[in-house]
Amino acid sequence: MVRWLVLCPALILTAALCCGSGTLWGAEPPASLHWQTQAQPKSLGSPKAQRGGKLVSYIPSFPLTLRQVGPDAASSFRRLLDDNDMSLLTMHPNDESWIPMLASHWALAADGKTVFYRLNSGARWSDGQPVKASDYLFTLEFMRSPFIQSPWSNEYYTSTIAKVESFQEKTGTEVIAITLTQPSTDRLLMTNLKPMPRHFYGTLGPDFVSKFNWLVPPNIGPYTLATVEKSRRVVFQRKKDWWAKDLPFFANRFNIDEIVLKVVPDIQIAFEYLKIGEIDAMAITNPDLWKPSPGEDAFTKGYIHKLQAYNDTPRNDYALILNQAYGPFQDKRVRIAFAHAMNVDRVIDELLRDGFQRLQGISQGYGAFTNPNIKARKFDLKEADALFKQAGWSERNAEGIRSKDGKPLTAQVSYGQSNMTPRLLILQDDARKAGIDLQLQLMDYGMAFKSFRDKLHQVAFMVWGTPYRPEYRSRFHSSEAGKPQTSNFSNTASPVLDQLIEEYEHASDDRKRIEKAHAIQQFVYEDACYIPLFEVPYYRLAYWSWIQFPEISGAKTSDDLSYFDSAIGGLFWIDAERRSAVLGARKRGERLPPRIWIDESFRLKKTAL
Amino acid sequence: MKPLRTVQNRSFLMHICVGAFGILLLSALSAELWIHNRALLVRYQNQWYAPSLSVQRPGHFFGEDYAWETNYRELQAKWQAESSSNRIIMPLIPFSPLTLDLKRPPPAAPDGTDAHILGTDSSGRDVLARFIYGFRTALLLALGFLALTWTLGLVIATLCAMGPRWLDLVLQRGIEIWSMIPFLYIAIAIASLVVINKFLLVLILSLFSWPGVSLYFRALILQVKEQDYITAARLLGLSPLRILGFHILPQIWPFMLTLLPFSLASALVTLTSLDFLGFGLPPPEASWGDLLHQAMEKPYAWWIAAPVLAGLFVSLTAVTMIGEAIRNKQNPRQTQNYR
Repeated sequence: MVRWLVLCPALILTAALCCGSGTLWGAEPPASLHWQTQAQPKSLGSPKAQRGGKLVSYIPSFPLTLRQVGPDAASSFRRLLDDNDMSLLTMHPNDESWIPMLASHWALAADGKTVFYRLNSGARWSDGQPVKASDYLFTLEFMRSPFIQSPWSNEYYTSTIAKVESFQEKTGTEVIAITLTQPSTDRLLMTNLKPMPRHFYGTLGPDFVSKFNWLVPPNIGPYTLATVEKSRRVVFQRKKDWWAKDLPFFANRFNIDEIVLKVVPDIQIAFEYLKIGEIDAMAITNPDLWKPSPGEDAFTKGYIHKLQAYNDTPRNDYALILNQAYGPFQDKRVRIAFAHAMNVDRVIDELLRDGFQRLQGISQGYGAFTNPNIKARKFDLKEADALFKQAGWSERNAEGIRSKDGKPLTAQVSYGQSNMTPRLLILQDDARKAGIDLQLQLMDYGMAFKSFRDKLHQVAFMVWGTPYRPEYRSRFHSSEAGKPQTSNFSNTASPVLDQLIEEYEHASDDRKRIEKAHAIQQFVYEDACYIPLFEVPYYRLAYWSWIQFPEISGAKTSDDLSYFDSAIGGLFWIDAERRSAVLGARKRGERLPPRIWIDESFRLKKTAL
Repeated sequence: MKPLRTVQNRSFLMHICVGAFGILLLSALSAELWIHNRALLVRYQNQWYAPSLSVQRPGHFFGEDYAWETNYRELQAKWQAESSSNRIIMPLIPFSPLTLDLKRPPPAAPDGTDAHILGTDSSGRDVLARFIYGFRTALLLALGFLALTWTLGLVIATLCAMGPRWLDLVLQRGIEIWSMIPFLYIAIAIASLVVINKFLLVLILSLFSWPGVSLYFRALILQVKEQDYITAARLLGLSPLRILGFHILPQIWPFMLTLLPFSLASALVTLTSLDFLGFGLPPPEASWGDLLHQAMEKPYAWWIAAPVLAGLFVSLTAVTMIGEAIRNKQNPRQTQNYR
């Protein structure tokens, strides 16, 4: 009996330690916490939505792995898998309020670094297992593990997140506390972790990369990856008994039963598939696809509709980046003159047309974080000429190219997408008028990016993706300059800018942070290493008209047809009656009313330049 | 009679193809005279200039207020509007393969409203200009390729056939290994590492094409080498180089000539294919492969693909026909039978 009395607690303790859960014997969270939640967030879905049906679209390539981290994981397909997972909270895309997801409540600790999350006990993995506090503890262990072969994850989860702790309230509800290494005004954003299924991954080992290459991990989102036909297609099926289907924010969303994504490597071929009904919907933001094609087709007959929806989201930094290590660009006057020699407006007016706008600077579309006083340098040959002459580039050779000490003024623009060539040809044409021999270097996309990271370029034609908040260290800090495999493509190295970046990152409140962000943007403008190019204030879709959308087609931050994303995904549905009617009309050759829907709900007023 | 008719029909077709090819060749070689953005002749302040045959002249030269190359089309319109005594004579098609004309959204179909007889491509450049200049580039590259490949092939073949047996053995095994290297993968790898220029493209192509030629030449040399007069020459003490230059090469030259048109056709197709795949000449170089690539991206723009497909058909058929004609000419038995 005595032996049993001793053994039982010991066994329970051992079991608890083995499964990695700190909650069984965990302490209670501090009583002083002020818990917050949003009980009734308004759904973006439509009450008219119908459940059911199948939607076929395409992906441009089959993923090299189903892993979401590690070698070959970075692909557009990973975004689908990431969207189909969930995190503790999600931000409302329109009003930026926080909405509970895997956590029902949250509370900010007084230290400025820690956030407590009360977990939703109903959350389930797709294999039916409950989502536990230990899964969040495992996220940290997983992301820091050398076995996942993801240096970025290792570094980020070590330098940003200090620890994850678990607690248990008297009611039995699990609570986790996530602590950052530094205080931050974006605490919720930075601690909003996704759990990793400990029961699926078990103990990580050196065989992680190969073992999990093609295994479908359990997920928490609305769909499950049901079929994987290598090189052909993937099929996502809606979870009928999804644990979150009754959350208010998900009302009338994620309606379609099955989403089939075929592999179609070429967008033009995908467009042809769309026209013959092999796929149901696709993004057609490219002006070539948007403009009506000659003759009659499924668009003119009203079977396929078009949607152009404006959005209000941070704009990609679409720029020519001048490498300061390249001889002529060491002189700031040459960089400014070069910017004045780029006729970006002509590219927009004569080639792109159709709503494209000039990007005015870096960090556009960040609301208060965007410096409104910065305007892109205009094409001005006289200004360019004056600056070039000041810098000693006054002579022109027989070909009309400027020269200095016998060397012609050449600059090679490296880029990785062949469909960008027409845009660059216009820049090249007008640069010649300014006396610059602009040479084009079309490379394989991966090789182009590698050469930028290794600083082998003279001018990089590049699009930077946009995080939720502007990020400057990797692109402008001197610690990233002058060495290979970093993202400071302009080789910018300035103590003044370094100081501004430090102050921006460690600002104690948003007002100071915004002030520093403006100062950084001003510095980058004056430094003239970034020549901002284009922005598109909308996204465009083409879809067979049985696909229906709410009255406002998407959210403020929508940029495509989003299937799974907690914040903006799954707003559309399939109208079965309409489908029969369209297919019948098509069979009989009848016409239906065509529709080009311009949704300006989130259109920003154009600012005077 | 039947074989005779076949030969006559072939001969007729050959004349048509050769005629078309000749016209194409002539058009390409004289391109600057009828399709270019520089004026043929300019009379300015009672002086005559020929910009299409001279260096670039800035706008200042003709009294304009800019320092870059004169826009002769605009200048012509201006002088005509001013009823000036200055005159400009432009080529028939006033566009170079690099001239951008974005008055109509590219690619613009030929509609008779402007001078773009075959429309414009995705960047607003004249399709006919790119077709003609692209052909000239391809032809020059193909000739360069032939010169390099044949030189390499002949040198290796001579070493194999005239050298010691062990050298022949080593080189033959080397050729077998070299032939196994997949050319396209190597081309893709090189194109991703460096920017391909004309010289590099010819070099890469030649480096992977000489083994076939070399085997053919080796067999020819070995065949002739066994002839009695070669033995006699050797017994007379002639040096191997002299035997090769004066007694073997003249003997095998007609057979090499037979191979020439087929090699040329093959080079044209390979160059076009590489450009089409995006591993050929860099932008904005004019090439047939680039036009085909654009046509694939914009399948509705038939006017981009049509000239290249027609051009390929004509040039490949013509070159093949010429090759057959040479082969028939070299075949005394066939010539004798049908006389």
